[in-house]
Amino acid sequence: MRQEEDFTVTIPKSLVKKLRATMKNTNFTSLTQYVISLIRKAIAESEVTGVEEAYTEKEEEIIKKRLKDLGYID
Amino acid sequence: MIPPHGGRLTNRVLKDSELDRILSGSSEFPQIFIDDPYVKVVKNVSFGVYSPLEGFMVNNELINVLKFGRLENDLPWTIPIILDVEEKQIQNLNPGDQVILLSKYQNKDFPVALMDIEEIYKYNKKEFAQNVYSTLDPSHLGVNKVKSMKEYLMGGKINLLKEKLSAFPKYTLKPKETRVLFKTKGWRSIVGFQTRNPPHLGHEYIQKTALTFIDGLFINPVIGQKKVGDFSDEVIMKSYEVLLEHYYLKENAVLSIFETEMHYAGPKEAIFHAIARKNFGCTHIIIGRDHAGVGNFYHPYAAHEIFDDYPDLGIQPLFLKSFFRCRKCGAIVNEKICPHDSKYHSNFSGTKIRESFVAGKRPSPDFMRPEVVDAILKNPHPFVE
Repeated sequence: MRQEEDFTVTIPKSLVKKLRATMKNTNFTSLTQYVISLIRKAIAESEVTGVEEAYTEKEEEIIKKRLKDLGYID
Repeated sequence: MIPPHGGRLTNRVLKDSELDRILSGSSEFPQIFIDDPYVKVVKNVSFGVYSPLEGFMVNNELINVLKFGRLENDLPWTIPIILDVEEKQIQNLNPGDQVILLSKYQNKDFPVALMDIEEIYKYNKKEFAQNVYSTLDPSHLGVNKVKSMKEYLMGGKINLLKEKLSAFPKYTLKPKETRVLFKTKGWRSIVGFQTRNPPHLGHEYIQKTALTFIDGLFINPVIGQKKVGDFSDEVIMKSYEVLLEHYYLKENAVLSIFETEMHYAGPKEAIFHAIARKNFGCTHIIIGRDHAGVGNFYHPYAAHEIFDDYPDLGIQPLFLKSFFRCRKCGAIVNEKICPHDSKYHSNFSGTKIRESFVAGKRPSPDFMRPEVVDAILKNPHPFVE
């Protein structure tokens, strides 16, 4: 369950001040939710690389033939 | 190419050797009949439209989705993917068992999937409805549906046995296929357009606005259970077929269906729709006015605001306001680009267009392309009855 895994982070006052200032330009009203959102965004961006291809070369050829038969590609 | 949700496209299609073994002994497995919407869920899970899901949700997963709008691993997910069952169906079933999910096809039993039961559990219907639909009002179609759901949920991974073909095989593409299609067409950016209606000019302008700065348009109508009075699936497909033929460049727009039922969950469903389109390979999704809404249950732009909570979604929403015709501009515009008073505006109202058809009148070409109108009028039963 998510609640059991909650973790408290201490953020320096100077950074909190900056966070509050930038939060004013968003729809967030809770600093906690805003910080969680920033962390999620940063993690998602760092995860984009190294993803395996969704199909093999052989599958790609079979798929291209079907797409051609259906008129999606020439 | 954009990575699938969770990084890997789910594939739950059994290999031929395993398939033969299971189908030849299928009568030895306990069997449960499932309705058509669940058959669509099985297909969507098996072919990766619902990646990273591998089956129907277990209790912890459901609780996370309801409370946080996320899976247990923190990935965004807002609509529960569940299988409801009644007591008599599960009397002899236990976690660890395997069960065949059956459907009816041409009056015969059709083995859809083999399910590994992980958990059978009770759930709170009020909590379910409140968290998904943000209301307990029984006049909401989704809330009403939850009320009629069976008392237990059965969670576990599924393996596709046989694929029940859609009503539109020519327009049915799996995520692997759309990804190859986009790559072959050389599209680096692809915008998905969700729809459940035949296109009027307002829809066309929204799509073409997005297309001016995106490489390709993926028109992806929802095909499946809808409410009475909605346009039928056949009408939606035929009308898009003629629109594409007459008003779009073949090299930058494609049409393919999304087999699912509408939940009418407004903002929560907008996130769900975005995830499915991401798995198809879209980099962007158009989110218009009252996306997946019904009646007045959601603020017209609530589906825009919810994206603030999902900066890690991985697909970019394009928030587009509705287009209208402005007599002063002499053009089709939206509130962001038109300075004139609303007295000069004529809105593209889907409801009014529907009323025209019901009254046997042709909607004006100022609102809907004549070819689209003809395609709708050719169908003797254009609405869900």
